[in-house]
Amino acid sequence: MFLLQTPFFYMSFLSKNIFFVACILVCNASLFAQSGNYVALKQQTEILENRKKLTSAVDLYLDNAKKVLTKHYHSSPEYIMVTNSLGEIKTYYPESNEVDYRQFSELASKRNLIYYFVNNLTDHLGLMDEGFSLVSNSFEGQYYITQWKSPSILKGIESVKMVFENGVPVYSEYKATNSKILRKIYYLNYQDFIQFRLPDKIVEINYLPTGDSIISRTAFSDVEITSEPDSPYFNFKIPDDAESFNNEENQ
Amino acid sequence: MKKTTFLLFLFFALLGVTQLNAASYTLDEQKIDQLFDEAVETSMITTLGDGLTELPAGFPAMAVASGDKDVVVALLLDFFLGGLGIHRFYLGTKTMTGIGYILTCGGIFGIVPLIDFIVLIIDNDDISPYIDNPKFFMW
Repeated sequence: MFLLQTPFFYMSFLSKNIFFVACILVCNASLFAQSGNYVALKQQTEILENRKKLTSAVDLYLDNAKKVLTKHYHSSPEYIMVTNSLGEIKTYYPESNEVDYRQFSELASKRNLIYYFVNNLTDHLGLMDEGFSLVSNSFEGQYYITQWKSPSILKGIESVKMVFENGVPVYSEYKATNSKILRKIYYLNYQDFIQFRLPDKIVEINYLPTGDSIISRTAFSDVEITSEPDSPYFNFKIPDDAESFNNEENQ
Repeated sequence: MKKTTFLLFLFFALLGVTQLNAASYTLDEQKIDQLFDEAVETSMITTLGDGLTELPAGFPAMAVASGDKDVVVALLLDFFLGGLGIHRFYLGTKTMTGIGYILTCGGIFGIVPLIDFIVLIIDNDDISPYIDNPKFFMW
């Protein structure tokens, strides 16, 4: 009883609590340190049509805190496209030192497929942002199915079916107003990262009115998640002396 | 007895339909790999179809024609296949531009092709600024 009234007891009680709180804070801090807001990855897309294929490579850099997406297209001409959450797009062509400014909310960084995966918005993968509305959901064996109705402005598309397995989308199907399938998308081989899951391959089949199809195969690799920007592309600065297309047109 | 048989039949029919649907949610990756392996790597777009009468039927998707460009062809291509950037290939552009269209879901379900369509109509008397234009946004 006497011990309870001594300052020593209260100090030891307080220090225990402080110790536990400190432990929790340290654990949280270490978790945050592991997660990071900077996501970099390589994307290779092959497009197949009529037994011919085109291959392209793009490096993507997503600053998830600022919602800025930078794409470095390795092509001729090489170009770098920086997009923010408002859809302000800066396209820089290093060879000609030219820059183009545009603004489209539809092309905003937060409406990019990678953004949806990184932020675990995989329940709709952007359909909601495009104005699609969920009309039904059901189960087929191990698959969870959602049906989405297109907004009236998208005249060509009637509905979209999304199929989920283990909580992630594995298949999407776009149907035209005549119930013909326009597009099938397969999300394959999910990789687990600390904050999100990402398929390492996406195969998309677009059906043409001719009966032919165009297949695109996109592979993601070298995914890096860091808490600090480790590439200049995360804060890509367009040179001050870059010429603007718009200025050129006005002259 | 008949009821039981009917219910059993119904159960297996439903099971069969479910299995069929489930099969369509998976991809035969080997088949896709084989298609890509057998394809010829190209950075060029080849020939245009036989002309307007063939459009959109019988039209090769990745096409660039040499010589003069017809604004009507470009408009039709934009209308039917704009989401894949085919009109840009026809007008002449870099391969990556078309790929950029596809990577953005056809310019986000057609916003960019739609604007392409409008500017082609407005500037139908002179589409030279849009020919061999390597930029993602041609206007």
